[in-house]
Amino acid sequence: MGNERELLKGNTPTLILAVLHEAPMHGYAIAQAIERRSGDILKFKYGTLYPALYSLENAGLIAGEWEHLESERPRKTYSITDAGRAELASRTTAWSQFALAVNNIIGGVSREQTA
Amino acid sequence: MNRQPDAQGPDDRISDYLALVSKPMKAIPDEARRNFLREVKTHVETLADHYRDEGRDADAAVSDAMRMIGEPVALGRSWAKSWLAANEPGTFLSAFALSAGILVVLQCIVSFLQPTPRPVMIFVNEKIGAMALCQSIAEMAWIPIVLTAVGAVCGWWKPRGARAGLGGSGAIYAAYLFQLFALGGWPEPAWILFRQYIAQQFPAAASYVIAILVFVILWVVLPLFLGSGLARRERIRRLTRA
Repeated sequence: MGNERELLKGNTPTLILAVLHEAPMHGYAIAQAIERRSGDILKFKYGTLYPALYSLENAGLIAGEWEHLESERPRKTYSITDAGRAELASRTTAWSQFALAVNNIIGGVSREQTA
Repeated sequence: MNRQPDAQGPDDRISDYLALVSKPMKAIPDEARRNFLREVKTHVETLADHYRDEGRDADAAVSDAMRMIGEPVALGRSWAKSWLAANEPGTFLSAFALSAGILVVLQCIVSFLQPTPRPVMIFVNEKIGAMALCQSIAEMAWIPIVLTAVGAVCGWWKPRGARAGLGGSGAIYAAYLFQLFALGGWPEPAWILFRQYIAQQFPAAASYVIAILVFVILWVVLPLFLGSGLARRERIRRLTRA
């Protein structure tokens, strides 16, 4: 699990942008969405979520707004901004290239082991 | 989680948890801190509701929610570091400004006490030896080295006080202006010697580039990034101590 945690830590902003790209969400829902979409492989330690949310908000990649609904608790809902969409596209491209490169290497090792 | 004190009901336990979260956040303005704590509280309560819906009792639901969110002091510290890193960009400049101010004053005093300019014993065709070069580098370097040290001490100790005491960062521009004159050959003989040396070693254009690079390293890279930058990181670490 150590490897997953390290990978998650470095890619938390990308994951947040990816789930907010679909719909605005509050902090709890963001964490849930990431876990659910990863098939429960990525277990979020929620303490890492808020500093990442703050950094993204401060960088203008997401926008947070407090909602005061009578029937529910007040909560801060985050949505992705135009700059955030551009950043997500850039991160997605970089990740795809990185993953392809790693797969090419690991795939080669895996084939050698099975041969 | 072993730092959570015992409390009566779930609400009290959440309050105690939030009190621990806010411990390393003393340097954060009230409004920002309150908003963050409110967000964490909502998260704990929502998660606890979810666990209650799964059938856990109220106490267990709150305990599990807090455990899931993580160690409270670490959470507060992590968020506070993000906040400080984003909102304290002037910190290292303040420390730098104070140290630059001190050095400008020192330089003025030294100049005042030494009314007769030092003779510049350089002749155009004279070959500059290693000893003379070392001496010139030492003469050039002492101010940035002291600046780095003073900047680091100020940045670590009390940068906001430093900024207030100096009344802004005007002194830093005065210091730069002074050194720009020096770079042009006035009035610091060490620069003249250094310029003369690199002019003998390199073509004219390259010697100017090298002189500018040395200036940037001595007056920007060294004090700003090495001294005050490190001090800033240390300051953030100190401010987020629980």
